[in-house]
Amino acid sequence: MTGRGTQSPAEHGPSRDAEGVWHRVHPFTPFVRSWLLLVALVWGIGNTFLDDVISALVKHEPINVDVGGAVQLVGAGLALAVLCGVLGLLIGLGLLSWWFTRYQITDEHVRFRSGWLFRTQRQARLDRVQGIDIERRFLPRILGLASLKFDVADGGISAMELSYLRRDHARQLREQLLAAAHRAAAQEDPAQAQLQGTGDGDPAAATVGDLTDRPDAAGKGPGRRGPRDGVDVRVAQKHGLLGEQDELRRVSTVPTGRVVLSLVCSPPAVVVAVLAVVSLVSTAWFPGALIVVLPSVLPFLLAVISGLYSRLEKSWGFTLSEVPSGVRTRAGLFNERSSTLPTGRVQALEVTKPLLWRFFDGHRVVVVTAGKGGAADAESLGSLVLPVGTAENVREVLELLLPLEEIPVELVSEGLNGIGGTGAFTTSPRRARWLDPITWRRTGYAMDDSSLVLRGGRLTRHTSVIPHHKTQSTALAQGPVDRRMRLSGFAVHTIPGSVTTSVDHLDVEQARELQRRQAELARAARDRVNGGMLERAPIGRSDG
Amino acid sequence: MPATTELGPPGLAWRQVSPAYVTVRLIGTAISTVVWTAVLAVPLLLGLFGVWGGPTPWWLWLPPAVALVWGAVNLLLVPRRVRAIGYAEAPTELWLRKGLFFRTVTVVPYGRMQYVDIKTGPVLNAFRLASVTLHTASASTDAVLPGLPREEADRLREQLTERGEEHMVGL
Repeated sequence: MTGRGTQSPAEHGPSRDAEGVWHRVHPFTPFVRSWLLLVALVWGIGNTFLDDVISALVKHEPINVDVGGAVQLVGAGLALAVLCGVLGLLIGLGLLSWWFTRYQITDEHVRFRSGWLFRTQRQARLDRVQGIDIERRFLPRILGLASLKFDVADGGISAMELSYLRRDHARQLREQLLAAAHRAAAQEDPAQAQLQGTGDGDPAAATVGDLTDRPDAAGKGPGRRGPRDGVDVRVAQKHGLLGEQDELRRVSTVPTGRVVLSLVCSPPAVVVAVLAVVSLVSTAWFPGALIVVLPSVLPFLLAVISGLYSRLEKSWGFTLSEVPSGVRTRAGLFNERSSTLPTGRVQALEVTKPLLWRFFDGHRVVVVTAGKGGAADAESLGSLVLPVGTAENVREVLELLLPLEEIPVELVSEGLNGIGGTGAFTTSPRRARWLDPITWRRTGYAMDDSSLVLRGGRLTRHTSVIPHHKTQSTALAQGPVDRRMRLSGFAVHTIPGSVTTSVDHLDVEQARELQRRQAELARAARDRVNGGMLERAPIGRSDG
Repeated sequence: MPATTELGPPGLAWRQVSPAYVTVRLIGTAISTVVWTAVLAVPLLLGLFGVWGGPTPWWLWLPPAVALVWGAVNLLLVPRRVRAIGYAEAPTELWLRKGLFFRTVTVVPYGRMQYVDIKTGPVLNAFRLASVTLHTASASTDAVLPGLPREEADRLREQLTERGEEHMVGL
């Protein structure tokens, strides 16, 4: 049906099973599920018995295991046999549980059966399936396995998991299931599907429609095509059949080379390099110094390396894609994590260009969003939308994420590269150099009708974009020194996040003017957005 | 005294908090000064009562003295600090100013207010005062109006709520 993946068993024949036909999951499943237990067991055995036993066997000495009298009493052979028996039993039990774990996909249902003593069967109606996501945890991922997670709005159960399947099989099964779910929903209420599909009331549906109508956008992406083949995205979306994780268009992928480059040029790596050089030099001069110094540096070194690792996890294989509900980021080397930013929720955005990244044109983009996941999301991937990318990538991200009609691309690029008050930016006055000797010519702001752009940083340059209609409040702040020098700081308050939303040491007159104009423009922008909302969704406003 | 208004825009009708709030702040500052002085005087008192033996070193007088002077300066500044607090109701935003040395002027659009808190404590209550706090979706919005007369606080709350509904926008 989709024409991809020819070797999968599910490819032959239709995607639905007859009543009696059941499939089994991957035989590794029970062992992957209880891998921790297995590892603990094997480790325990190895630790207590095997070492002694093997060394004794190799040296042809009488076995002398110091684990108490029992083993000596019954003899090593018997002890080994018992152990193997236990292991065998566990494996047998695992296989037994695998044998009785089956699934079935019929026209209307997904059924999942497990257990041989106490049997459980779960089923989910296909037309109630909200989305199907592929989950890949660490161990299954190494083994090339994946699990399918169903979001079901079915009253009884809310989530069902099919685990584990081979990765490509899981992927294919999902596409077929989505199509089948779509069919089931369409059969149930074709008229409604038609109506809702063509209705342009929902802005999200309209967005998806636009994408569907753009053949170049669909075919251009280097990644796999979405499950759109065979599924009318708009209808599927109306029925919630496209999971939030379903890709409509892949926007950008960070190449591995650039990830490595960005890591090599990151502060932790530089610290490691400096440490290495220092230790080499010191050993050259005072042999033996390293042995003294290393233990004391080790904790610090570990912290630095773990920082490096977390950067690696966040940027390895990073992809940014459009999904029905917004934009999705996905990255990870061992633990793949993905997170979705719903459309129009971006409150502020910051582009950073560290000193060492300049020579390969590297930028990082971070956003602050409201809602959806909250703090946990912001902590993981939610706020990082581009770990390292070119100016071109940044432009794409800006256009995709900022909830604005006109994207201040020019201002952002000037914010990253400009210096001094020559362009659109107003910078700190010259007298601020006493307070801000390095950055005063960079610190500045620029504004257009829809957003405020702040810039700063001499070595690590950064530029923030704060849409006017997303600002909460603003404040001027002036300390005693500022007052003496007729300077003032300006801050925009947004949803808390890791984006710089303030500038220091502006001329006090300009800062006052900035606050006044920002208030005006924000008012206009809010009215615009409010008006737009009224046109699009008259429900909920009595005055319409 | 140059007023904080010079940070704010011209042409706004700034209102000040109640003059009675000066007394409240004076009481608060006096209490905290006494407490701090007492706490910092503990080593000195111990020394004077000969708990540690030997002559009392002169520098034990320093901490309570500093606390006392600091408190006195604060007490002197209280009236000016209170006078520096102000607010102005513009058609679509509320402007707030505060601070004598570290000044801030904050603009909160009515449509951005999520809720308005009115708080009062025993001392504030005795002077029939209340403090009004505005909350937006941003945690960094620091918009507190302490020491408004109770009626004014109620009026402001009503006004803000009404205008908030009028101008409400989604995130």
